[in-house]
Amino acid sequence: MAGYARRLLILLSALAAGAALAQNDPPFWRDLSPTMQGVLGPIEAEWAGMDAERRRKWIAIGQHYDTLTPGEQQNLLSRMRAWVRLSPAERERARDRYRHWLAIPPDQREALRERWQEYQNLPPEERARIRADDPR
Amino acid sequence: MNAAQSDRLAHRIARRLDRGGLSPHQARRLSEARARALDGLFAGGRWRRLLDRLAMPAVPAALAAVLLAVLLVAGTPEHAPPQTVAEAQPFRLDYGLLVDDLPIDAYLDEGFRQWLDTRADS
Repeated sequence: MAGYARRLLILLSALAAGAALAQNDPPFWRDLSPTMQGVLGPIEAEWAGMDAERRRKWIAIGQHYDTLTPGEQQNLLSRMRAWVRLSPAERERARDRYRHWLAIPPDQREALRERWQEYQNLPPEERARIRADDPR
Repeated sequence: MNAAQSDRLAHRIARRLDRGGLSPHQARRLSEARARALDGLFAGGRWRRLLDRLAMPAVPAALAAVLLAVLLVAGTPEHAPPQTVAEAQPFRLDYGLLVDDLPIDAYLDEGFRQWLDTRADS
């Protein structure tokens, strides 16, 4: 009877391995169309480490790429890599603040964009001093 | 030995056993033979032959099981990629953050928030 127990164990293990394999976050990079691979190229190196949910998100974003303005396309391509390299806590903090950003009136949003540019124009050491004074 | 000869031998053995008077050694050997016959009936008998006919070799069966599990799990709708951005509603925030005029750093730079607060106070 030991032979049958062993055979049953192999079958069950194979089923579990197959299920695990299938849940190993499809679709795989090789399954993407050449166009999609081109759009998502900046995050190809990170693709293997993403779960299925994140991969589907990126595919959805990639599918929308053609509807973006050239400026938005440039923003997307230049920010993808940095975004996937943020920690989950950082991404969540950015989302939370973006929600607030969406809630403010358009004229204030425009003013905030200008403030960001002013802040960017400060000398690096000045920005470092401000960050060092941050109570957080 | 044909079937008739086997039957005659079996009857002779049965009569001999019915008369009794077996030595302890003979009784023990008979007991051991009976145990072996019973083991064979369950482990190597008709059940085993039936299982042999039904069972596939282990390796092809394992490969088939892997394939079946992959198809079952990967083929379910929840694993299919969304077709539109609208289907990925939980990620619209990410999409907005990635394409918006204001860069992601603006949301994460604590110095910028501090600087804004300072300006608002002045």
